[in-house]
Amino acid sequence: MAMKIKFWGTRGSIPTPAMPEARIDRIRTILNAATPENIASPEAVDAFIDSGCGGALPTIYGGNTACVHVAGDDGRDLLIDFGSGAREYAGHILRTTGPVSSEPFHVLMSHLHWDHIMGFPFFVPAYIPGNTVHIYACHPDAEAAFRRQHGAPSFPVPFEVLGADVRFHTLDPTETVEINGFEVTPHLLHHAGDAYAFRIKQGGSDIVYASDGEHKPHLISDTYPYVQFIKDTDLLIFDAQYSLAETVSVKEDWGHSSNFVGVELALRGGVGKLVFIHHEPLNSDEKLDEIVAEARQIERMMRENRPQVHVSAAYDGLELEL
Amino acid sequence: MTDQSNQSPLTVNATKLNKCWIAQIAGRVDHTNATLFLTELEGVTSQLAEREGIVLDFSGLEFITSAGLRGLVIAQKKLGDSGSKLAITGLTGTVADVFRISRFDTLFPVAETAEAASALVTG
Repeated sequence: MAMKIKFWGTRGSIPTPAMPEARIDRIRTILNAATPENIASPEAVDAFIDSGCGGALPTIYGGNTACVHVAGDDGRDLLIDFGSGAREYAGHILRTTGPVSSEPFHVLMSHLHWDHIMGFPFFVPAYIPGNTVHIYACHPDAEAAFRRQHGAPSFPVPFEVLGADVRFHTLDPTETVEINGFEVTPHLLHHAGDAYAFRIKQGGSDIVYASDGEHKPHLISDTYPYVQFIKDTDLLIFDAQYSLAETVSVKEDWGHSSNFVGVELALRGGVGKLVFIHHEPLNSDEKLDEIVAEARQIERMMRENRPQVHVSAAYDGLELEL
Repeated sequence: MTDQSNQSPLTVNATKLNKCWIAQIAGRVDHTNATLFLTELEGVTSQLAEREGIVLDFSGLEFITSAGLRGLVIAQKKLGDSGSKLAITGLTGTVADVFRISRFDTLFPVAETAEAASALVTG
């Protein structure tokens, strides 16, 4: 059994579209890197692009906020968080399955902060009669949060206008539940208003989605409950919005973590792949690539005799198969 | 991060140079001895008279994890209340990389020599 994960939104806090200056800089970089041979034919152009423009470009991370799709071998799936990436996912659904889905949508909510729910008013299937959307959260006030952002003066369309059957389910944070064929276990994270990580299993695959969580360095040990929660997972999707220095000084208790602590936790937990998410809006693509490279260096320095943790960062559109 | 502190025991030796204490840190700091590290730091900083500075010389430090780095922030906060300052020297190799990657090199004044670091906290 395999699990497929697609990241529709990976930015933290607020959508972060590229400004025109950044686009122009990128075009300039590409043109400077290209040789006449690179653009001699459409096929040569495609090859040049596939090579990352001769290595001239960083990873293009994108700017949508959190939304991740998880699919199992059996065709059943889960969506995690309704960040602005949910608008892109909705477009994909409309293009591939049409306006009415024969299967309900099942959506896990890590928490109810704006960047994690702002995509719902633009999730077109919710407006179409015949669709069913199940929304699962450990927060009992999830429905109130969704209704509030649909109401005046924040949004012109009232929640009551939605044509789909939208149902809210409150999860017990202490219990493992089965949702659409997936075994889902919540875990409380340190974040204002509480956020929850989810360990998600199906068949032999096993991932942890853990956005929006801060970990105090002095608590990190083999007996730290979070280390037990992520133990031996194939994939840890981890909030590394800030630097370690920020999380213990000016941004202490802001509820986010760092690449440094992510590596420490993943090594202790025996994690296979560590993928960063909830990228800081101020960080450029080049900066995010640097954060990944530095995390890989820390991983090598701390690994000792343990298995390697493969470190990367998610970008909008990234697809992984476990 | 495996608990190797027994193989590389933490030592903190402080000497006074004019109006500055120089604390030489050696060994490894991780979650197993981060509390001890903080206690040792506080033992040195408690000896500081008003406006005296302290320099942490990490040239003998083998490795430091996030738990140890946090102790530096706590020590700096406490010093700030008394008007004393803390600077760091002796960052080389792996420990220098840790400071750069964690961005701790942006939280503290860093100098290449103990004398230069001393000038930063007593000037």
